[in-house]
Amino acid sequence: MASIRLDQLTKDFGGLLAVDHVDVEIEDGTFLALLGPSGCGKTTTMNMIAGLETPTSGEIYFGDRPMSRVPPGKRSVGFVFQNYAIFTHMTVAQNLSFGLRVRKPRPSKTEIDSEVKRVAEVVGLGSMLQRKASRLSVNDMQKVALGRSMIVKPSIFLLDEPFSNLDAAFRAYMRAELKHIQHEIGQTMVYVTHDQVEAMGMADQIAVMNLGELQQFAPPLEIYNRPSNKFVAGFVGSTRINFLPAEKVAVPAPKGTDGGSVTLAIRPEYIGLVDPGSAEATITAKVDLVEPLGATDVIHLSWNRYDIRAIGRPGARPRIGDNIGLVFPFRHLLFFDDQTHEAVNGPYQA
Amino acid sequence: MEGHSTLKAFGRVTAIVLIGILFLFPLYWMITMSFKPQSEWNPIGKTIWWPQNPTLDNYKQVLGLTNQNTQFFQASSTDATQPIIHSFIAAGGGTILALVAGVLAAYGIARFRAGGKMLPFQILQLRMFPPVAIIIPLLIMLAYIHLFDTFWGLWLVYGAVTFAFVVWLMRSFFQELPREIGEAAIVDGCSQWGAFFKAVLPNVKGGLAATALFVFILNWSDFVIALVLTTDKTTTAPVFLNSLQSAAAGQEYGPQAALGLILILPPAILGLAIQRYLVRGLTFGAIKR
Amino acid sequence: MARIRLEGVTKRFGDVVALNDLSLDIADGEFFTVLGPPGAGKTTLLRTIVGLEKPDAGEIYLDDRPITRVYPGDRNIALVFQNLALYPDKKVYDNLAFPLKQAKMPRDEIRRRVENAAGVLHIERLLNRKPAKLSGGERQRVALGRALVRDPRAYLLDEPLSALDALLRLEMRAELKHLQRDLGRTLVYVTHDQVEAMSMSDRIAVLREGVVQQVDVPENIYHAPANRFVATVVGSPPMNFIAVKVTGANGRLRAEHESFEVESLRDTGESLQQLAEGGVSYVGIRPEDVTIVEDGKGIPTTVYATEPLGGETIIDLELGHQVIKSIAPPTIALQTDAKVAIRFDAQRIHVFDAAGRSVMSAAGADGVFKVSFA
Repeated sequence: MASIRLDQLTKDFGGLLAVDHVDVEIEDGTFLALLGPSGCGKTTTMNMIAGLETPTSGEIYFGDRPMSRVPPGKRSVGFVFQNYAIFTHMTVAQNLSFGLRVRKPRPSKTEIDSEVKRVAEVVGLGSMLQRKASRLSVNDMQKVALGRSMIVKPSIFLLDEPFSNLDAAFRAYMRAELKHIQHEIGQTMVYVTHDQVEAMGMADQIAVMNLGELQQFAPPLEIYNRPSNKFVAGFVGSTRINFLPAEKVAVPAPKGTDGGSVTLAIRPEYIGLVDPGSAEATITAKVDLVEPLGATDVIHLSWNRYDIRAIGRPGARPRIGDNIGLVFPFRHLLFFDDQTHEAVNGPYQA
Repeated sequence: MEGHSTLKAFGRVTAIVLIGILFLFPLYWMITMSFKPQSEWNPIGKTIWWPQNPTLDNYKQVLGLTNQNTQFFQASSTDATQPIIHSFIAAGGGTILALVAGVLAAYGIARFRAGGKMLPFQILQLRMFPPVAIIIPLLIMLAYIHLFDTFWGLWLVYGAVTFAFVVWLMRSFFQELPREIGEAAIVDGCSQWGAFFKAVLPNVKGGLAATALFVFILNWSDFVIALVLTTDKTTTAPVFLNSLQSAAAGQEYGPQAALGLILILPPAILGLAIQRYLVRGLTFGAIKR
Repeated sequence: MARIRLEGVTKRFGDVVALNDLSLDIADGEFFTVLGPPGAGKTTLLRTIVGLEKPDAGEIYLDDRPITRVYPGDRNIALVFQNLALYPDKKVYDNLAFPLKQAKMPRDEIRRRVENAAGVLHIERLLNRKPAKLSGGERQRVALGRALVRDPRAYLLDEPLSALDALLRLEMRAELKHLQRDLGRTLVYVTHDQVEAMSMSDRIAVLREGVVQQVDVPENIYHAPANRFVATVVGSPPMNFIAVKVTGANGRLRAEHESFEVESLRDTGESLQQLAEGGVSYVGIRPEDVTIVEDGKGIPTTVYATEPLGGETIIDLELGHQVIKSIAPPTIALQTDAKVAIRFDAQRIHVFDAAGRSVMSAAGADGVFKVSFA
């Protein structure tokens, strides 16, 4: 079975601790995202899962089998890289069938053809099988790369930021496709990315990493609604979360370690907008800037030298300089200890 | 596995030592020779590995600090100060000429694609055959325009001969520099020349230093060109060094060694002086944009 | 005054036509963004305006004065390159002072301007450093400062924020917008990031392969795109395009799909002529305007995939042979293969012809279209 377990996985590049004692366990068929900024250790972690790097300490298990001594070719993993690595002088069909053709014993021609056709349909290249790979758009090239690794039916799929070089529209399209494919085929997938939208949209479980350390390992909605520390809270979320010192805001707040201070956090979309004098308002802030993003506006406000972002609707767009009352619904407030940066439970959270 | 790596290491060390000896021995011999008195230069029957009576006489002779003092009949003096000065002038001037022409040509080729695709190769071709092959025609040409045995003659020939190196090296350095830096200077109000001097050149200092040093060494150590194209008025040091073994004077090993060592000095000192530029420049523009 | 006008500008590089008979009219003091994918010709456009490229055809005017043949340094336009092009050998102070020295300004005037610009951009303490010792954000400010000190009539910025990390980009966006407002000068901003374009611009020009697709205020680019390309370039996730068969009856437009129908409520007259009878056309609708209805009364679809993003969830739905996206609140709980009914916001529907041109757009108005389903 292709469940994966990372047990205190560590990689030390002699002076650079790239991966620091990471513990992650996923079941067969899970879509796992390794999410974090550049340099956080996610690619190194994936390279260790793939066998391209050997761990300094700790172990990787596929099922019950420890894998760190198994060479990459024997791990039955499929790779998709950032820069598609396909054979440009071959046709799409030849590219896709490559993994099967080099297999021993070599499958029959009919078998290969039917597999190629099946995979091509899945990735959306059904009509382009005879086209030369060099004449494809970059989006289609990446589909070929995906198909090529799929056709050998690896038990685990590893994808390293495969769509980061491609345009936004295609990324949105491939997110749905990849999710659908994974759901149909049921393979375990490990997906490395720095784009939290990708991770949130596709993954069953997300491992958020920073500076080699695992910050939180949980399903997307938990990462979003119950981030375990300040870093995760700030990193995930299309419009950045707001951080304010809790003691300055009139809300019931917990105490930090040793009775110390905490920081309050609230996501822009949860902030209610009311008249400045209204009794509901938690604070009143002044509008600095309104960013129209199409379906919504991002309203930038300032309050006591702090920047706050809220989401508004284009129909009710405020003007720069207006004062607006901001409502912080208590149930959406998050708190983080100022010393440890860990999440602290508010008095009214479940 | 363990035994293998010690054997490999041992083999590696032995190889390094042997190659080291091969390359360093002539230097060693020259250094020791330069301090040997005449009696120890070539005594019959034995080889002296370390000067037993070290002396500075050879150096003094070569620098014109003493009267001649050899057993052999002296046809000419062993005072090398004039030739050394001539070498400086000749190599220096040739280097400057090559740099001026070469840097401008390299910039034209790198930035403005002057000469299309073929020009860079045509220039490199210039250097593909040794100057020795055309040295006699050069001699005749120089004589015709009365530049034989003059510094201008040497400068022109040295400049021409090393021009190709300058172009080839500097072209890569210019290509490595983002073109936007020159363009920013133009947008900021410089003329093309202004942009070149104020924005581009200061940022290829390393490459320029490496190229200048390389070319200087080439010119400084040239023997054949100077041999053919000069006689007594502009004799350069390598030629003079050669003359210290005329049939009449015999083999003046000592002074030769001393002069040889002295001749290493200017390039070495120059290299040290521009060292901080060299460190970067010595990738020799291997990176292509 | 700094009104920039391009008329019929064409620029070729060998076989490639980078700018194709391009005309633009940029108003004085405008924050004007040129938005397009890589290779659209945006950088070539800026370089042509500043004079680093000479157009093969057409003219460029600065306040009605032709500047096509004026030397770049004399146009009084500042360009900030995509890779910043700071002078590596010079300290920040000298980088900033460089253009002023070329203009032969007196020393104290130079000092005053440099310190002023440094103050505005918060880089006063960096004046003695060299570019190699600066962070990405600091270098960006120095590049801006070099343009600022000249007090040019117009600023051209080439993807200035693309090299910065996400957080810094957000900060700089707000700063740039404020700065431009305070300076009051024309700013031509080039980017491939539609969020930047939407959030900062007074007007946007969408560029594709050297041809201007549409020039308009951000709201119109978003809600009334001139063609499919423009519709796709802004908005994330991108607009859905549903293949339909278009018929016209009684001068009214009718788009038929096996699961629904869109009818125009007004006479469409000439627009109909654009569409070949019975030919393939597309109904465009943005994901946020596709709603999943509780009561099952709507267009029938099947859930293809769900993408919970935290603040919202994207639902991918199979409609006929296509997959479209809809944005739903984060609380929604749907499984793949579930059957759900959806509705389209009739005020946000667009119809595009087979070539991708917009035939009709509701553009937020009521009473333009009617959607009906089985």
